[in-house]
Amino acid sequence: MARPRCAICGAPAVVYLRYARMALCREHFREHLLRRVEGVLTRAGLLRRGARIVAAVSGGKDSSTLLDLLAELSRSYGLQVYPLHIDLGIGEYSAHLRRAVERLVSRLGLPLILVEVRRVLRGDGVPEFARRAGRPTCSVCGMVKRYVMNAAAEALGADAIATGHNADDAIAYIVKAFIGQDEEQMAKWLPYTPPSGGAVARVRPLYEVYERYALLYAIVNRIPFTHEECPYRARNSMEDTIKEMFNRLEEQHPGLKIGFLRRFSKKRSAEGVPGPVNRCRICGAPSQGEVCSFCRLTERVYGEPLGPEMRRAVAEAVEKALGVSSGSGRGRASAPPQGSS
Amino acid sequence: MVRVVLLPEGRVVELGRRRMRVDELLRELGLSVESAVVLRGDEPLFDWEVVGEDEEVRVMRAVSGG
Repeated sequence: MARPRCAICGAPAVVYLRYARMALCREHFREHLLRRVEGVLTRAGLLRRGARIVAAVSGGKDSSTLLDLLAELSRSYGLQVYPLHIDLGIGEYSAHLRRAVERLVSRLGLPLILVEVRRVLRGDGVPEFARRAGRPTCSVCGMVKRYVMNAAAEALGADAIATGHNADDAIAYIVKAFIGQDEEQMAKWLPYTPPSGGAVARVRPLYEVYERYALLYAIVNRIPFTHEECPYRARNSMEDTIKEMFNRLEEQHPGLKIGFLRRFSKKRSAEGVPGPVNRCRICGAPSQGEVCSFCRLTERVYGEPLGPEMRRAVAEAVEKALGVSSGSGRGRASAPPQGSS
Repeated sequence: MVRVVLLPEGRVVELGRRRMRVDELLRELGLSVESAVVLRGDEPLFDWEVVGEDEEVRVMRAVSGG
């Protein structure tokens, strides 16, 4: 069988979307994914001129694809997109990720907000911090990333933090939460989580993009990304097994994954999700308790809470990227130059 | 013999059959067609394309990352 032609324009196709029974060329594949992302942003009220979105970019395929698509939408709709990369200090792995992100933002003509955790954690990367704390690396890593993302979004007065979670990620976490009958976790896996108690809103623009297509998009558009696995990533996790199971179902019933997510998000709302209710009395970050997890854990490990220092480092990274004074409050930073096409 | 480089880990697998379709190749590796991309050089292949004898392809698993 010959290589197919694009169903829209007849140009050579680069992808066959099984769920749509349609082959698409590179341009129309891009259009297809842009419509998916637009849909999520529209429903979240974020597809408007001047909306400020922090795009968390790890350097992997999903967040790199996401940033490329958001950069396109920033040109079309006047969104203000701020790429944020957190260098977690995980040896060569972090170095490769960082280089990929630097190449991508340079190609897109966007200023990068770069936060290096080693600068605050007394020279430690996340693995050393986790080891000293006696906690699992992935759990500490997640906590650090959430803290830095929110601090950056607050410094910028952003409307939302966009993450690269794709359809397969969402399904894996929803099903895992369902198995544990954890309603609170399930409700978090919607395309949009509104702001709550000082925590900046979250948006997952790739919610209806399959992981395989995020990868294909990065490949056919030659987007710089790293396909390496984190050395601390758990092998054969429940999430991986759920993903493989749903991929086998998708193979037999194309469109099953998107149908599942659409029905799931239609039936639920994020209103019942309890967000942080306090501000940390040490650093001012949103917190469930009187002191946030970051200040609590850093105080235990380093003898002093490092939240205020981390927030200063993030504010400095914002200033450096944008070439302006971000001050200490919300909404001080000005708009970044929005890329070249 | 089809030589397959599995990414991200870089492990090499040699499959005994002379020619096979991409979807058959993935099934031999225990993967669903929805969970990986097969590349000839830098070009992604469609499920029905045939990988020939003595050819080397790369299989990038979509389920990977940090």
